[in-house]
Amino acid sequence: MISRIKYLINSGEAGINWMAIGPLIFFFVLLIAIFVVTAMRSKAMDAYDANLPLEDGEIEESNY
Amino acid sequence: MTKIDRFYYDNDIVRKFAIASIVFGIIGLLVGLTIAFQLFLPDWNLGIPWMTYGRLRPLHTNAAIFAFVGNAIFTGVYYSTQRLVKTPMWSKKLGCFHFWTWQAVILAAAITLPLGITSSHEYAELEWPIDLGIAISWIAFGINLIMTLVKRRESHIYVAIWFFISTWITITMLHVGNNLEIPVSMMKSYPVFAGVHDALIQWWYGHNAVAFFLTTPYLGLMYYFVPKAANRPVYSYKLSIIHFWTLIFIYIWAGPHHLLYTALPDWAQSLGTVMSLMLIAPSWGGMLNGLLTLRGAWDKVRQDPVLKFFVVAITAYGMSTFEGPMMSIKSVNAITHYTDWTVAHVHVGTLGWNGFLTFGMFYYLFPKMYKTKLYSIKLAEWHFWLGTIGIILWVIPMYWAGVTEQLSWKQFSPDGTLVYGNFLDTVTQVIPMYMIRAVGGTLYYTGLLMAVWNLWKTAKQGTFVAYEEAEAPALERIKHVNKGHRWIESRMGAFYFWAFIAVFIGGMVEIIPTILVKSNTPTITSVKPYTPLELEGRDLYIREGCVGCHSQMIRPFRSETARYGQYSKAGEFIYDRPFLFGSKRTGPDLHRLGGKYPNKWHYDHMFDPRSTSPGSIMPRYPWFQENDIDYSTLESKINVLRILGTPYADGFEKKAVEAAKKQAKEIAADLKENGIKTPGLENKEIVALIAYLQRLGTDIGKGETTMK
Repeated sequence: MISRIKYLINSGEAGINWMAIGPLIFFFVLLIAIFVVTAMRSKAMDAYDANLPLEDGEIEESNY
Repeated sequence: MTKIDRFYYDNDIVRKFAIASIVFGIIGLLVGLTIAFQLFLPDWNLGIPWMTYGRLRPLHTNAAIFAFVGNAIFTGVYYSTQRLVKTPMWSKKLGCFHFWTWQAVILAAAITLPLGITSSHEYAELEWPIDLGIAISWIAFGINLIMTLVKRRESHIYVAIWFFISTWITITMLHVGNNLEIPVSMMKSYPVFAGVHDALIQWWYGHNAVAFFLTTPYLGLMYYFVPKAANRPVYSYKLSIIHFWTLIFIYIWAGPHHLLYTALPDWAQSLGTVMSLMLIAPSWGGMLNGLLTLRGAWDKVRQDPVLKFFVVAITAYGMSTFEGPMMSIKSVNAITHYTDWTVAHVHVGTLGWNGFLTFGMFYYLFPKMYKTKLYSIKLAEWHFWLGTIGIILWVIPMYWAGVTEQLSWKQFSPDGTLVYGNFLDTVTQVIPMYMIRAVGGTLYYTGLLMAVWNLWKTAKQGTFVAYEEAEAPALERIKHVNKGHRWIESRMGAFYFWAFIAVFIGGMVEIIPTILVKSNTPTITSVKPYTPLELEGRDLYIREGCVGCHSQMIRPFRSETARYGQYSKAGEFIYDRPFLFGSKRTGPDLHRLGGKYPNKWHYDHMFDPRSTSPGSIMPRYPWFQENDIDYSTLESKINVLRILGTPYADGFEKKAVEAAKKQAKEIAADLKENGIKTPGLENKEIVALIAYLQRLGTDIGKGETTMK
């Protein structure tokens, strides 16, 4: 498995593939982190935040 | 006891931008309709240079994107941001400054583009003084947005504002990156990067102009106006967080999918493809979040035109964001690229997603701001159906045309020759599709006019509330007690920082190695800089917008090399500022045009394309034979190009006009020998254009050609 990964990495031009692989790994780490922190949010917080557009503080609502 | 603040939301700035959006929508879409007719009625330009397709096309795209959609974005941002953070915009004066400078930029575009003043970078055609104007206006908008967030009365920054923030950061970065240019005169500049490098940066910009001007701000508007209109919160706030970060991180990488099978390094193309495919996930996550917000409210959709427009808009977003990644697969792109399929794809997004979300937003906003009901629900329903049928009639014939074009271009007979060797065989086949598209566009435009009338009557019957009274608990000091992602959601500085990091990485990883690693663009010894006359001819080609219909990039396919000649190599474009690869072939590729026809053929062809190519839909360019060549900036052009790395000898700029006139005399003499008797022929623009066209793609066949 490791030799296969090494082969894949070395088969391109030196340096360039690393620059592409690095951000891909960064992305998946970021994605997992986003999933984790998002999962940690409480339902009450979600409900409060999601309702912000509906509570805009306008004193007089239009009759539309 | 919590202190309650009373304040006013500024509707005045919202109305200003809304009216500007509507006015420029009428103009921009009318220009679009005009060029749609010109594609089967080539004399529809009435022989007027500034009415010609090549000059009007960038006017249409700029008016639609930056005037119609741009003003609509600002309408929605100014309206929603104030209400989401429960404070008026920070500075009314800065808002007005932003409004008027933005309209001044649009006016400058409306004047310069028809005059042929263009940088030729797609969706960034405006020349350097106007680029500076855009920067000033954009910074004014950014400062007002940031300061409004600083003064907010709501600790949490709602997801819609995240999308606005990422829009501002990314467009700032893209605008600077893609407009690095050195002025030659007040209305002419050359880009710092050339050829393949210029192409990569342009499509890093071009793709992300779609992503961060036509998509992310509209997602912000979706996250605000869909819950408002449906009177229910967004389906999943968690999903919106994942949607936001994954979308802005991935989108920035996808630019190279506009350059598949070109001379761009293969690794960059592959990276663009992979990231484009990954884009489906966040895009569809956002689409589903929007549509599922209407769960349990579909009965409202039946009755409320606002929601009807939103549903079609979000559906169109889903369709185009599925289609985009599919078109980024190299084998699919080999078939769709350069055809009308791409044009259809773009218009599903712009007419459906941007257009319909804008109309829905205006139908929601006008009654709110004028404290009345919509003048006519029935008229809005008519608009909805005319618009929807218009989109269908617009895009289906273009998909059909795209398939027809590519299958015809690639069809070989059993003896190994192209079945449709003459490019015109295909052009004439798709003209009926162009006609149906124009009918679709007319229906869509009629719907727009109905909306204008409806909104005008709504405004007339109501009373405009310029400053809407509101109240909210004062936020003395934001307490950062939150953990996890909610921490970043209430910290504006941190949010800006991480959003910038997310959008910065992708572009840099693709651009920096392409430019710095020499092996990515091997030079070819026989490729030399343009002569002064060819340079003037090239700038005329740019002025007329020829790149809108003709590519200069032969892909490494048998069907293309059989038709046009050797495939294009990166080293052939190292002196091309700007690059002119093009993205659509309404006419044939021109990269190997040099030496294919005699000078006289080009002279006749430009005067009347149908005299040499019966059935051609190219407009006539008689003014090339009437106008004298303007050498006034030639010296400056040579100087600037030398600064940028073109190896013109020292002092050559002083001899450039003389050299250009010498070459012009030779071409004019050849034309005279072949019966052209125009007085002063050697001074006419047509001679410079012929010099350029005859040079195209010929260097690679001259003498010894080695790559290094």
